Amino acid sequence: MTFIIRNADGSIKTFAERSDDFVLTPGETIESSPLSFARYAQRFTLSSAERSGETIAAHVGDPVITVEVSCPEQLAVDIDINGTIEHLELAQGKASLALSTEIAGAFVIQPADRKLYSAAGNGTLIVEVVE
Amino acid sequence: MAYPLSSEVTPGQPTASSQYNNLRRDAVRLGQADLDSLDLSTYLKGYTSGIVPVVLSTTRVRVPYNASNPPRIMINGCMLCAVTHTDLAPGLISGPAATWYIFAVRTPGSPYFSLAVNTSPVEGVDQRLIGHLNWTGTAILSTVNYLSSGVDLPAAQYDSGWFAVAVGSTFTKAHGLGMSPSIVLLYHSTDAAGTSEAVLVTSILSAAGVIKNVVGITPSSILADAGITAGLSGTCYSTRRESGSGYWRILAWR
Repeated sequence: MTFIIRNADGSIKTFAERSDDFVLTPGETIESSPLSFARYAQRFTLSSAERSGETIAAHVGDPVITVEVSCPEQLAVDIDINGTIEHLELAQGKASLALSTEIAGAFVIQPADRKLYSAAGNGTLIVEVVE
Repeated sequence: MAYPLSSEVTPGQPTASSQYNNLRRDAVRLGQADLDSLDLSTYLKGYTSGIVPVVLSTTRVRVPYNASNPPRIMINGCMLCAVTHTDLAPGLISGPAATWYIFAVRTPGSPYFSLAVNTSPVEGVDQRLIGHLNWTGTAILSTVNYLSSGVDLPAAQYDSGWFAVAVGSTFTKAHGLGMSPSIVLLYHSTDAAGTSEAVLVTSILSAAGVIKNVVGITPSSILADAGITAGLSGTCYSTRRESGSGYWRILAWR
């Protein structure tokens, strides 16, 4: 079982294996999912070159960075890239994005619907392109 | 139950069976009933203190004597000690590279233990396995102590388990220790199972160029702040890893 903490706006703040130690702030709610912690964590994941849950660093001019999106058993999912929403069609629950390294900056990629999918865990991927 | 059960007798006073049995119960089970308590020998069967095998030379090991923490060990029901360094006799280790197991050995008629080695870890009747050494074929490379030194950090008294994190949140966890913990460790993992390298989180990048510590402690809670700005290393900022997501786990001790 997995316990899901939601922010006051309904977005998923975190999920965890245990719930008895969470101190909720006003407006936060807690609910449970029958999925195991590992399975719940796999509902929506972002990775690059099999790296996930950490910042990916690249330099200007490096080859294009490919981000893998995994959302098992879904046909499509919306992705938030630095505030811009991109609709992705999925093949067998997977799709990929190509990020340019032409200019320096950070890409913050998250699920667009954070009430449905968590940005925490492996749900956010930050790609930092530096000079 | 009051302890001791037995009471003093005066010279010439006949000893009743109840006095003898109370005295026996005091000696064997600290005054407790048979069903309520192990006997002292069973209870102390695994007792050891101050025993740390170290490399003495290329072919010998030693259990050093330390007056402030003298070696003590229970072997086959006998309480043994050392009053000086206990050294493995010369010439016992030879042959090709192998793991040799180190035993403390009881000798009938002596309150002191000696050392023996064998390539098998199976204990004899008067032996206790205390560690092993790594033999290269020409020299002892290192020793491994199987016994608690008495200073090992116990298992954490509070363990949050792994939970998912992203920037912009404060996580408040009730530790249930009844007082402010004296040690709190916060670890970051890139996967939910915690199988990646566990990176100790002491600070995060809270805003461009601003590094801040993460953890606050109260008598009831541990508060951990992920950074406030997406795109920065708000959940882990280390030479080992930078992250704005992933998983945290908090361990705490009183």
